[in-house]
Parts: sequence; structure tokens; C-alpha cells
Amino acid sequence: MEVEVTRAGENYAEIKVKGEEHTLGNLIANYLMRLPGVKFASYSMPHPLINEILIRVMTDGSISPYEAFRKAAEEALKDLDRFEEELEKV
Amino acid sequence: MLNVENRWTLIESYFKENGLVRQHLDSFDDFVRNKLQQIVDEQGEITPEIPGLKIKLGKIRVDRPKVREADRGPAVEITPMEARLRNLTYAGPIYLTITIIENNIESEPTEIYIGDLPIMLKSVIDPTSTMSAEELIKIGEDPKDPGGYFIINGTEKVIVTQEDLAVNRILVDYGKPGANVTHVAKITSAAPGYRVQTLIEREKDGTIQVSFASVPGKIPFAVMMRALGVVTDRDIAFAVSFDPTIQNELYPSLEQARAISTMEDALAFIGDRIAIGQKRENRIHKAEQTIDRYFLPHLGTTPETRKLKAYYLAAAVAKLIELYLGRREPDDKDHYANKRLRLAGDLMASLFRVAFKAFVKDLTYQLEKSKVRGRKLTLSNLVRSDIITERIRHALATGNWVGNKTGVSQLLDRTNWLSMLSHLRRVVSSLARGQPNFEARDLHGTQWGRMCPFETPEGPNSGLVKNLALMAQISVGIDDKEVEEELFRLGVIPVEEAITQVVEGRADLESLASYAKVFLNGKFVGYYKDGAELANRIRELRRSGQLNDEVNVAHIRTEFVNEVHVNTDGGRVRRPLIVVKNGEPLVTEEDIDNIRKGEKTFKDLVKEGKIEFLDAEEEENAYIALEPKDITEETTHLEIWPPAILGIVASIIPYPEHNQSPRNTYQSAMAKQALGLYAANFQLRTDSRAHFLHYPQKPLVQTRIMDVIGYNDRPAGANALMAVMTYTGYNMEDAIILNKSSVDRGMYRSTFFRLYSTEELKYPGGQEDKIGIPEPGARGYKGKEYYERLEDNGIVAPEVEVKGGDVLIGKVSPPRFLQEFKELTAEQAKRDTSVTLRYGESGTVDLVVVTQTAEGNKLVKVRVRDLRIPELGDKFATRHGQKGVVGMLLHEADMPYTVDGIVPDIILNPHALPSRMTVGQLLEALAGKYAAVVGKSVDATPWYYSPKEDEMKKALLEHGYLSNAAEVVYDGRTGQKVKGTILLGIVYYMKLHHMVADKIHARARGPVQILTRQPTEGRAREGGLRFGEMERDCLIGFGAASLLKDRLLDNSDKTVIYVCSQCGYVGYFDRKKNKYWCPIHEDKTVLYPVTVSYAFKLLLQELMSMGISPRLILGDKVPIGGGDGNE
Repeated sequence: MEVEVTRAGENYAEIKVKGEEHTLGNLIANYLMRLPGVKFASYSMPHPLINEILIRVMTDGSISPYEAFRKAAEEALKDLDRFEEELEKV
Repeated sequence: MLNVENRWTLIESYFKENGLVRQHLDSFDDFVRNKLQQIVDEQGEITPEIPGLKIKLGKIRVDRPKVREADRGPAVEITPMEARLRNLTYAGPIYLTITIIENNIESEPTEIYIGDLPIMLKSVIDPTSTMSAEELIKIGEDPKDPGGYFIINGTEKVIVTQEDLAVNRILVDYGKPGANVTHVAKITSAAPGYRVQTLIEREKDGTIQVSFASVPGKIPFAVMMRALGVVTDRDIAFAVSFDPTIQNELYPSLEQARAISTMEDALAFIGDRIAIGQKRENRIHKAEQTIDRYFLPHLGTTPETRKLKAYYLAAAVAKLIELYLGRREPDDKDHYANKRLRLAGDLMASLFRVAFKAFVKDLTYQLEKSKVRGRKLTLSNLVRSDIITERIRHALATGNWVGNKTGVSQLLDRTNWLSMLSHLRRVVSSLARGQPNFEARDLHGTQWGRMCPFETPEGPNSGLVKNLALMAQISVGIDDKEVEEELFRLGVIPVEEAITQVVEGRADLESLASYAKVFLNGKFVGYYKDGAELANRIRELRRSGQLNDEVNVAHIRTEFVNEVHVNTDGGRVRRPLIVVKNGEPLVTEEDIDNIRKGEKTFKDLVKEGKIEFLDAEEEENAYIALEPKDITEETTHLEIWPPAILGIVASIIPYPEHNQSPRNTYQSAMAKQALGLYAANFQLRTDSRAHFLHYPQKPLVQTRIMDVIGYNDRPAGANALMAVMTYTGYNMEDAIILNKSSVDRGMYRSTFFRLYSTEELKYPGGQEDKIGIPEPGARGYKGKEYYERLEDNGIVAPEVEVKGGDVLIGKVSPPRFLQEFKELTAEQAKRDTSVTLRYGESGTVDLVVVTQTAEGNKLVKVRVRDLRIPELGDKFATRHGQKGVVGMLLHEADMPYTVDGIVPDIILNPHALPSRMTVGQLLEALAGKYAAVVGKSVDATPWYYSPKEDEMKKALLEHGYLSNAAEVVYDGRTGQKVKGTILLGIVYYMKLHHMVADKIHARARGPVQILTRQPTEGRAREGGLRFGEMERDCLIGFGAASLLKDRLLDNSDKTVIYVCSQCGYVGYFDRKKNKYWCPIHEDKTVLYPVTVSYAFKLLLQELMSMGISPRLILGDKVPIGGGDGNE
């Protein structure tokens, strides 16, 4: 995985993630949308044969876009950990 | 009742008995059995200009296929596969029995070898026609191969059926508007060996004129009749008609010929045109000869046939007058009754006739030459067998037939099983492609059941190239002598007899005028009282087997026309129908049972008169019911199987009656490009190029005909799960999205084979080619690394990976011109003529064959195989004319999936459907899904398909699917449900042979043409893409001068030439003298470098070669000192 910022503003960021596709994009975009302070979040795969995705986020200013990315990843990981724990019990 | 199953039994029985290329086999068999001997008999004997010597030609016989090896041993028998592998001709020796008569003493008849006749596979004289499947497999044949083609120099050749206007028939039409001629009757008279046209024209003044080849100008009709021996006005009038109204129209013609009242005068009149200014006797003699030979020769070429010709001419005039009087319509040239098909047998006969004539001519010459030298006559030494062999082989190899026809013999299309069968059943019209010929291209009513209504190419050949319908059969032709006798026995009054009766007052004019005119193969034979009764009696005779079943009869009755046409000639397209009498079909359920039990065949039913073949003319008299339920009291026949109106290729379309008709036409063209199992013996074959689909499947949605034609055993496609939806957008504009995971599992993989071969040729003067690794000194030596893959014998080994440019077979040849090797050493003189793999291709060596040709030359064939995995841009199509290229390959994880987790193989864009109206494809998807769910294939035969839509829908519902075959799907990328439902069904998709791997091409730098030094053209030559006139216009319009120069000069054929400032001619720089040299002023001038296009330099030199002196006047590019630069 290789992350690269393609566009950045005060409350806006667009990152390119090489070597990832819908699995990560869909996950992060959905977790981003759940975060308070995020006005807009989405992801896209510019070409299905090129293995890279773009994730976009826009915040209302209460958190920085990069903060939002980090938080989304944390939330996702947290949920996955819980999922793992629940699985153990089964 | 004859239900669908019962009638299908008939169809199966028909094909089991006849196969799919019966027309070719019947025709060729007839050629070998009858026509060959007839051609010899036409010649009869050879009479060279040697007193007392005659040579009688006897029986002709063709032996089994053999080859005469170069070592001159006895001819040995060969199999078709040996012929294909060794580039031999599958031909049998022809033996002719010859008797020499010297001074009236007959010698012992001897059989001599006169040449080789190519043998049609599976014909009577082909040994493979009687072999069992096991035996065929043993000799390397596909046991299901239908035959019907020839093997010439190792390649399979088909003689394509030629469609022609019927000969020996009177065809009437209106004259051209504005011309002096109001009505015309045309007769193309064809006698063995030649055809002559006769024109009968009615002019504005009411006179009728006759014109025919070899007599210049027009001859008045009455004069012609007198010349033929019908002298008096009365006889002429009666010959034409007994109807006063028609006779009345003869006045102008009779009046015109008033001055010529005797046969001699008439002949002299005609003779005047041929032998101008000669003696009267000579003229008469010449006229007689010309008439006998060139006037209606199909009726005979002897003086005895003149009366016959007179009555034939009179009948034509009668027809012409009837047209003038509005009593009949002009003949329809597109009616199939007026068309004949010429098959392999006919065409081989005309070819053999010419070849045999040449042979006889040569033999005569050899005999005379030998006699002059005073040698003893030994026929076997004088006969040159290669005359016939080479003439026939050359015609078949090139397709150039006698009579300047081209494209008669074609390379058999082996793309897939269907394309081969379709090629063998192709019919080509002789009409010119250039002219519009709109009517001839249209589908004609009489093509029903004869020609496929769908299968025809698009574009210039549309409607001119046709294909036989499934049950179409072509008559071979029988001798009409017997039939003629039978007609007279039935009470037909001969024309002459009728005239005498009237003249002698034995018959009454009025009643004779009401009699039907009887024509036999277009020839007017006589009168019969009740035409309908005669036609019925002939039909009964045919049904009872007293007349040959090839005899067809039609009674044409309108208010004025009353004619009976009896046809026995060859080339009529006929189709079988069940005879219906008194509202009951004659074929009973019992007959069907007997067929099923194997006690009876289709042929037996024909013999019993329960099924009969009708030609287009007789069909005019028939009232045919499509289904048993449609039969009424008037019904005369019952259609056996309405879907048989289609040809072979159109028959594999499921639900074709639900498609818009052009889609079926497109599909018929595309099915021939699909990859599949083209022949079961493909591993043994050495086709120059071939494709093979790896996992061909038989379609889930079947048509009944598929089993019969063997499509299920040699399929060309696979059943794919198709979803109709927009997804990612990569299936726009007819593209399709393919499931990459399915492709990885092997879906639509194919192998491409290409053959490379070379022969070790021997040249005059003892020089010969040598197959081996070329020595570095040879001209055109490519460099050591190119020969690396060769074994010591100069040939690559199997399973070696090769790429474009690699040498597959190393070979050196002697120099092309003898002067060349005077200066060079022996080794340097050799040319490298190695066979290399094509530019841009690669693969694995699949097969290496080392053998010998008939001439004894070493022949090496190398087959290279290349795996073709479906990729972006490969072309696919359904069976409904819906073609598209792969627009995207998606991993199955990213594809939409159903509740059951099922993922489609192909995603088709819904926009492909509304405007094209291929409802059949939707039905196929539904039926395919039904078949998959129920576990058995579905029958989608047009009109008779079962289960019907409702039943399939019900079954789908019962199996937990929506009845419209749609399903809820989820987006594979996001897992979100897709709005609405998506049609998911199984559709048979075909991979077509247009693949990206064969077309991909780019060039930066590359080769240039020798002559112009401009970049080469075309992918095969690594060529550039042309920057054409219109592209140039764009740059000019835009004012992009530098770019223009870059395209047209710098990146093309830029050259610097040195121009003499004094004379303006092109000079050069002499490196030895270190001087610029002008051809005129030598070094006493100044030469300036000028940059031009090399093509311009070439133009200057070409002008010079024509004696034009172009001069280049030099000036400064930038004027110096304010001048215009030209002083």
C-alpha cells in the first residue's frame, strides 16, 4: 500500500491509495461518513484495471481531513477487533 | 394424424439417407457414370490425316485415387489425408479403351492411361464413401465429414454451385422503351460444348425478325421459316397458332417476305449475309450449314432437325404475339422455374470436354508426326497424359473455369463445422455484382423451401450469393427421349401431325386452338386436348414409378394461355412434399412407424408416390398446406417441415421467428466466424490457418436440426450466464463485460494454428534447394541467433517456443539469375530462403511433418500453435446477430452477484436490445435458465418449439426464480443491492475469429519501401499509419506548416539531392574524386544541396525515362538584395 495526497485544502483532502481497491475504499468511506464533523466522504476507483483508489473527505472544520482519515481507520479497526472477539465466543 | 414428431421422423430419415451435400455427390456421380462417357462418345473416333488410319474411342473408366511417385514405380493408392499432408491431388487415373483401325483391320482394343481426374470425396468413385466410421478414423478422416469437395495439391477445393438462367427456354419480355423493338423473345440454346443466343423481335411496324449468332443482321421471321422448310404462308400461320387472332398478327411478317417464296430463295437470302458475293449454290450451302450448326443447336445439328427448329421458332413467335396482345405477362426471370443450378458435375463436364478435345488434338498431332517419321504406331508412347491432368488441376487450383468464369472453385472454409457445410451448399448467381439488379437480389416467392431467406452476405453480393435451404434437392437430369415417347403414347398430337390434320380438314381449327400446347424441357412437342388431365396423368405415372421421379409437370392455364410444361432437365431446385389426396395426406402414421423401426426409408415413400419432389414450375399448380390441420378438399400437398425453409446456418438460431429479420441475416454471416471444433481430425490436419476452441459446448437451447447437421458434435461456442445491465460503463456501445475469473477457469480459450511449409525444389540445370542451417556467407543471412532453434536437419523441433522473425525451416536456394554466380564463390552464390515466423506472431511449434511430394521433392511443414486467452477487444456474439467486443474483464468479486451468490459470465448492455428487437435472445436467456434449472436442454426450433414460454415461466417460478428470469443482484464492489431486478439467463455465446492479438499494431520507426523510401503499409509489413489527404487538409486549414512538413517530409521520405546550378539536372557527390558531379557539366559547375521528397526525385527520373526533361531552377530561399531570388 502506498498513500499519496492528490488534493488538499483546509477542510478537504483527496488521497490516492495504490495497491488497494473497493475493499478498503468502501470501508474507509463508510466509516468516514459516520464520523461527526465529516460533511462529505467518498471513494472511487478511477479505472478497474489500475489497482488504485481515491478517497475524498470534506469536514466542517471541527476536525482536519487527515484527522478524519485516522479516526475512520481507528474506528474500523476497533470494530474489527470487536468482531474478532465476538467470533472467539462462537 | 401427422404430428410434429412424425414429420420430424421424416426429416431425420431424409438426412440419414442423403447427408448434407447430396447435390454435389449426385451431380459428380452422374458425371462419372454418364457424362464422362458421353463426352468421349461425342468425339467417337479420331481420324488423323493418315490414309487408312482411324482410332475408335471406347469405354472410359476412372480408377481409385492414386499417386504416381517420381521414382516411376506403379501408381499407389492414397487416402485423402495423405493427399492433404503431402500436397498431392486426390485424383484417380482415367483409362480409355482405344481400338486402332488400320486399313479396315481392327487391332485388339487396349486400355490406355490418359490422365488423372480429381475425385470428389464421398462420391461413388471415392473409396472412403463406403468405409465405416472406424475405418475412416484409421485413415485419419473425420467420420462425419460430408465430402463433396476435392483435394488439389493438398488443399480442399469446393466447386461452388452456379446459378444461371434456364437454357433452351423461350423467355419473352417488352422491348426497351424508345427503341424500334416492342417485344422480344430470347432463347439461349445450349448444346454440349457451346451456347448460342437467338433473339426474336417484334418491331414497331408489326414485323417479326429473327437474329442469331454468326449471321449478321436480322432475318425476317417468314424467311427463316421458309429456310427451315415451312414454306407456304398457310403452313407458317398454322405452325405459329391455330388461333385466328394470333395468325392475324403475322400479316406484316408474311407481307415483308412476299418476294422470297421458296426454300432456296430463303436460304440464298440468309447465305447472302454470310458468304457475301459468292455463287448461289455456295450461299445456299453455307446458309444450310450455319442454320444446322448455330440456329437452336439444342434441337440438333443435322438437316433432319430443321422442321423441329421451325416449329420451335413458331412457338416462340406465338408466345411473342401473345405478349403483344396482352394475353400473357413477360416471363419472370427471377422465378425459380426459369433458373438452373450448375453443380460440380456439370462444371467438371464442361471442363473435361475442353481438356479432352485438347487431348484428342494433341494425340492427332502426335500420330501424324510419328507417321511422318515413319515409326511404328505405339499408342502408349504417343499419348500425353498430362494434358487432361494439368488442365483440370489448373482450373480447380485457380478457380478459372472454361468460359472465363472465375472463382468457380474455392478453398473450403474450415473456420468451423457450420462454415464448411454452408460453403458446400452455397449458390452464386452469374449476374454481375456491379449492376444493381434489384429484382434479382430480392427474395422471390419461389425461393420458399429452396433458398435460405436469411443466409446471404451484406453489401455488393447481397441476394446474389445464396445458400440452399435444408430440404432443397437439385435434379441431375434424365434423358427426355423416353418421356417424349410417353407423351405421344398418352395422346399428345405432334405439331406436324396437327397441321396436316387441319390442312386435310380432319380436324377442326377452332377446337385445336383450344388445345393445350405441350412443352418438354422448353421444346414445343405438340397439342393435347385437356392440359390439366395430361398433367395429372403424368403425375400419376410418376407416382406409380412408371416415369422417373425427376419428371415434373405443370399446367399453366390463364384466360388465354394453356400450356403443359414437362421438365426432365438437370439443375432444377426441387423440394419434397407429402402428397395429399381427397383431403388426406398419403403418408400415414404406419409409414412413420415403419421408418422408426427401420423397415422403410424416405426413399421408399418417394417410390410409393407418397412424397414427391416439386420444382418451382410444378409448385405453381400445387396448393400446399403448412400443417395437417390446414388441409382442405383443394389441398394437393402438405409441407413436411416448415422450418426446413431455412438453410443450415440459419437453422441453428433459436427462436428466429421472434427476431427482426435482418438480425437473422447478420447471425447467418457471424456463425461462420465462430471458433469451435472445425473437424474431429484437426490434430492431423495441416490447414494453413485454423482456430480451435478449448471447451466447446453444445447449446442448452437447441434446435432440432442441430443434431442432424452434427452441430452438437462439433459445436462452436459455449453457454454463458448473461446478465443484462449497465455496470461500470465498460459495456457501452455493444461492448460486453467478461467475468475474469471465468476466463481464468478456461472460458473461451482457444488455440490458433498456422502452418509454415517449404519444398526442396529442383531447378533446371541440376541446381536444387537445400533444407538445412544456412552458412553465414549466403545472401540474406539473418544472423546466427535467428537459426538457434533449428535442429541439425535445419528444422525446428516440436514444443519449441518461437517468436516473430525466428527461422522455422532453414533453406538455401541457388541464385535467381545465372550471371550472379560468375563473380561469386559457390557458397556466397546461395540465397537464404528460410521460412520465418510471421512478424508480430509467436507460439509453440506444434507439429513437424517431413515428407515428399509427388515429384519427389522434400516437403517440410511446421505447424505453430498459439494460446489465445480472451482479452480486451476480442469479439464475441450471440446467435442473434448481437456482436460486441470485450470492454472489460472484471474479477468475480467485483461482479454483481445474486442472492445465491451466482455471478454472471457476461454482462450485456441493455441498449443492445430495444432498437434491434432480437426478442429471440431474451427468449433464449429465459429458455437457457429454464434448461439449467430443470436439467435438460430446450428445443427452440422455429414454430415448433417446446416448452412454450408459459411453461418455462411457470417452471422458473416453481424453482424459486422470478418468471421473467430476472433476479435481485448486489453490487460486488460495495455489497449494496442494485435497484430493480436484473435479467439473468444462459445464452450461447460464440467467440469470433477477430481477435486483438491478430490486429494489434503500432510503429515508431520501421521499414520503408524500396521504390519510394516512404514507410511501408499494413501490419504484416510493420507499416505506418497513413497521414492521408484529408488529414493533410486539416493541417493546411489550421496553418500548422511545421507539423505538415514533419508528417509529410521529415518522417517520410526526406532526401537531399544535388542540383546543378547550370542545367538544373540532379547530380551527385563522387566520393572517390571527392567532387560534386553533374551528368552534363561534370565538375565544371556548382551543385547545390536541395531537400526534397524521395518520391519527387523518383518523379523526375520517371519523367526523364519518358523523354521529358525536367529541370530544377535554383534560387535563394531568402531573396538577397531585394530581388525575387530568380535572377
